[in-house]
Amino acid sequence: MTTPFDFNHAPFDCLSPAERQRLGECVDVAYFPKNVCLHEANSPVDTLYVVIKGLISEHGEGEILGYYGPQDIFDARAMLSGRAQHRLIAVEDTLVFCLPREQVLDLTQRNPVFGAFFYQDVAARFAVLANRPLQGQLQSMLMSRVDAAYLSKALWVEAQEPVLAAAKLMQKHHATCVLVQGEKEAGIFTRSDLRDFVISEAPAASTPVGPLARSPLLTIEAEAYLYHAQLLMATHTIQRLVVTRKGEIIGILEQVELLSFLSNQSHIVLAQIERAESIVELMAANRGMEELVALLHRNGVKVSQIADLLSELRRHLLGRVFTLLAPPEMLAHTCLLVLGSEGRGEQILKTDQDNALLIEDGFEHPDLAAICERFTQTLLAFGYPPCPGGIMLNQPDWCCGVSEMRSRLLGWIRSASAENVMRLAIWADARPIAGKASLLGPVRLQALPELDAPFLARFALPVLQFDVPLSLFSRLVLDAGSERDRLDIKKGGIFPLVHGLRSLALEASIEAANSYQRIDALLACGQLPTELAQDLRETLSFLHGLRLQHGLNAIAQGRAPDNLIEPAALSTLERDLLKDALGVVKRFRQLIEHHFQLARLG
Amino acid sequence: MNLLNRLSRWRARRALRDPAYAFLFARPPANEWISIDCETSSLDPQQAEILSIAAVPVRANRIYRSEALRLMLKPEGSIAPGSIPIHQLRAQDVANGLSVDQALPLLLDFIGARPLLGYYLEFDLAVLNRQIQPRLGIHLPNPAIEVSGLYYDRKVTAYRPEVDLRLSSILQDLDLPDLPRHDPLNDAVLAAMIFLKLSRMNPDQDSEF
Repeated sequence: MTTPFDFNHAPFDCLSPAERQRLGECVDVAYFPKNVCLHEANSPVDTLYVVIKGLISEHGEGEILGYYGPQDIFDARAMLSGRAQHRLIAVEDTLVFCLPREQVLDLTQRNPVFGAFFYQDVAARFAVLANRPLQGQLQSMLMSRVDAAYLSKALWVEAQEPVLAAAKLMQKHHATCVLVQGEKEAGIFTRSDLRDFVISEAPAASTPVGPLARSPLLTIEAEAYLYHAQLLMATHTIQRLVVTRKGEIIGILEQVELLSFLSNQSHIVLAQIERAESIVELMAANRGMEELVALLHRNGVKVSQIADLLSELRRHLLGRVFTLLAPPEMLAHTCLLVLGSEGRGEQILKTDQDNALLIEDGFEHPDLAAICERFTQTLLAFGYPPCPGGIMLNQPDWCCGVSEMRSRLLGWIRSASAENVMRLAIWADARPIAGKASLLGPVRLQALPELDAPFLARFALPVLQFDVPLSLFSRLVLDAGSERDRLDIKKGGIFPLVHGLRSLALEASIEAANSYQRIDALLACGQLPTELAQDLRETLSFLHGLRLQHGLNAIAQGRAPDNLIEPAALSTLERDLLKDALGVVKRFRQLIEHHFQLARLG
Repeated sequence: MNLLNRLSRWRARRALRDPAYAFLFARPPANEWISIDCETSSLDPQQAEILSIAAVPVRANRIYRSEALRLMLKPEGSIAPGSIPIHQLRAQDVANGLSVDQALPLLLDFIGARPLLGYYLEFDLAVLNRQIQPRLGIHLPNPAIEVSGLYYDRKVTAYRPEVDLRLSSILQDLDLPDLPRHDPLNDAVLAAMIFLKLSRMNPDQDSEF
């Protein structure tokens, strides 16, 4: 039978005549008029489509993630999982071939070359998931060597050791498997083997692990391509491979890590942080984070997403540094806090250390001061500059007992000088990241007395500190003097927004520290009009993005990032957006001024 | 369905000799059609014998090519030599084919009461009805949709009374792919594509109309 389906395109060209015949028999054709939705995200998928004519767009998170044109195959990932990841819409009137999922899956099993194409494509889809356009990047990732991915440490037990010992070892190292040293050859004992063992109800303390281990080990050389590792796992339906270098076992490659590597390197960093057992190991994770920021930004990931991801990673990193340095008894009675922008989770590039340690009243430890000092020094070594205001763990002011902190805060509230207000502002954004988080509760700014209207007005006053660099006629006003032609977007834009929101949140007893969350909470309790809330979100996101872009450029040119942007260097669109953004800042400033009656403080 | 159609269906229903085929008059399932194409031994509907038939179900927006019915028939007479290059079916190719008496029940069961689609469907229906009439006493009662007719209705204007109805022209104009022709299955798929595109197209979206 002749078939209209064109087998001359990859991956179908690698099918044998018999396979073509069988697949050709079950090809259907579907027609989707313009603007029709093929399937919604999360709907079940039983078809692999190949575009005959027309164009399909893939939507996720409110953005277009990609297009499929003639000969393109979609959605390989949905076909493998049986469920759509994203919404698909016909951009033009589109004709597609429909290949039944069962048949294609069957062929991926029978024909390894054909199967490889789909696994490759899955990785491509993962990359799309990370909002990363498909460029050379993906290719280079697929062609990365096995040892470029995160390898777990190979943990060994002797064959005569009991299952209990193996389980304890796995628990201690958060591992999913251990290698068993047998007399003849090594085997592997995994979490699922452990599960099966538990079900067998044999005694864990007396049953040797040796006979339960599986061998031979499936290994891959560190020099091999990740892509081969993926294939090997797929072929054997296993979740991990033992990685060797010149025959010597050097680690374990978990499937999760492999996929993570291909999709989003953030998981790798997180895994590195979580499993690090020394500061040196954390160093590597720290370096990975810098690369990650540049990578994500280059590929158009939204700034708020990068910030979320990065602050999460950094909190884990700082928390891990502290838990590695501090003994367990100290962790039980102290609480490590990050303050300021780090606490708000809006810091993308590294800035000054803003951190503090709360100590439970009555707790003393001889090494406490030394550990705090080491913490600060470690962060310096990681590239976090010291805080000019001295808000760091190694400063006695910011490493103290709960009651002491409380009386200090109350003192600042009473005097409310400009300096004290800024200290309180930084404290208002505190977030616990390690140790006993409940210590923060009684000394949260919202929990303190005397937050009356006169105080709140003085607290909010710095919003007016800097003029918004936008003239009456919506022209950008640039700083005169040595900073000519430059505009400080932190002073003129980000700070008034952040501090205004902080003031409103404090007044409304909102605990959230993140500015976006504060906007949401203020909106929910009626303190912000809907339209302004939306404008504030977008403005903040735009300004943060501009600042990140500027900072990354500076880093690329070997300069330290600053906040002075040159409007002349922006595109017309960016300049217009900047004007709009500053217009919103101006509007918000007026609202704050009015709300807290700042004119009276003049 | 207007009164005249209803009347003629009612007459046909009464003329049906074999009650086993009453299903042809049943209410067809919604949004389903059968695209049909025959290859014949000659181009004269009074003489032509059916060599092969393809019937492809269409449901909503999908052409179920994989479920198509394909029948090869053995003609009683000889195949006109002039038609062989077109359909590429020689006497030996159809030697193992079914007889008309074997093939017709399969076809009728398959199409049921569904409306039929085709390109120059009239010819195929004439050839089919010539065989069905003596056996069942009726012509196929199914509604017939001529895709070139749909296309004509879309295209014709007072200024442009002539519409190019050649299949390749229609396909090109509608931006549809061409498939190897004169394989009845492909021809039926092509007719179904034209049908889907024309029936689902919003005229407002296309400046040509």
